[in-house]
Amino acid sequence: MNDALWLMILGMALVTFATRFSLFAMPGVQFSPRLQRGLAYVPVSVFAAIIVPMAVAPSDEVQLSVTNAHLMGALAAGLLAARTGNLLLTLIAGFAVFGGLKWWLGV
Amino acid sequence: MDTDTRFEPSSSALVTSTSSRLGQFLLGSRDTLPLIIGAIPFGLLFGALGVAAGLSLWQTLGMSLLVFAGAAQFIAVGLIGAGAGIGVIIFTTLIVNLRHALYSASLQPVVKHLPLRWRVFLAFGLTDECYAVMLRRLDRGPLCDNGRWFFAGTVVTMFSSWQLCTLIGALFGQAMPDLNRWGLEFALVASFIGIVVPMLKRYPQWAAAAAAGVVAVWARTLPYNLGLLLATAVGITVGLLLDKPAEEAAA
Repeated sequence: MNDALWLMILGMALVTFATRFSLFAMPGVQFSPRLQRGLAYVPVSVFAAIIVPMAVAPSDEVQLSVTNAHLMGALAAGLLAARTGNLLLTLIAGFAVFGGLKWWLGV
Repeated sequence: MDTDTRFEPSSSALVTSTSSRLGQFLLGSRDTLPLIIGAIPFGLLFGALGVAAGLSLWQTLGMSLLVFAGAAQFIAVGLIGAGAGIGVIIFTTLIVNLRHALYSASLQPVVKHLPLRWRVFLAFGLTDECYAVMLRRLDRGPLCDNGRWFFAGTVVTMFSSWQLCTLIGALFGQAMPDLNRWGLEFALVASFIGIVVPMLKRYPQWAAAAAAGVVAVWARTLPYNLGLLLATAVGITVGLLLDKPAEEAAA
């Protein structure tokens, strides 16, 4: 079992490195302009795909409600991020609303 | 030692200029600090959960040291707890980390002139957080000649804090069995919002993010994080479709 877990860790390390090194390994490979334009939409799409379900459905059920602390905290963070672009202020605003609402609701 | 170079201007520039190697390294390190605040709870939580799932202290640390991929590490620990086989866990890691191939493609222009050892080192550290820091940096303009050291500063800072948090979490996690109840996953939501919202500058980017978000919610129960990949594909497609008319108008 011990060796199996180390094998698993090494396997995970290899596939993770492979994905990250893939295009760094081929410095001569050029992308088509279309692919380049598509890549520009990768980060916003990936991050939105991670964030939105966590905020909208924090306990696996969709909860579009003011009592959803994750959603309200995310909206506060989004507002500050759009207004200031400051990461620290965004975190503080998000946590203030998230924590405050959790405390107020007693959950 | 090549003593002939010691009085060259570049020697003093190493201490004073932000474009020096050390200066770039420290700038990269500084730009990474806000991201660490979001990552700290995850490192602590991963350490605690890793030990709780049956990994030894060394295996928990070893996973952070060798894999260095937060989301995949959490999923692996969850799957170990659920009794999944090694093959399934490694395959899931690949699926979850496919997005890193896209980061790799995105940052390739910045590293393609570098020697192999640099590309290996920087690729190893290409986490979500380091990618986000590099995007924010490139948004302000191209890197200088020593820009690789900025990237290195980001990687080393993120890596060190991840190891430290994993260690602390693993050591003390079992004494705090209710870590999950603190809603610590909200730290990830808030820090990713702080990253992505400033990137939404044009209408197609908002549309791409909105489409990806809606699909991700709709497909959140699909196995192996396929919902994430599907949502990303839809977001890219929507962005490209809306982007095209603007390009044709310009042409």
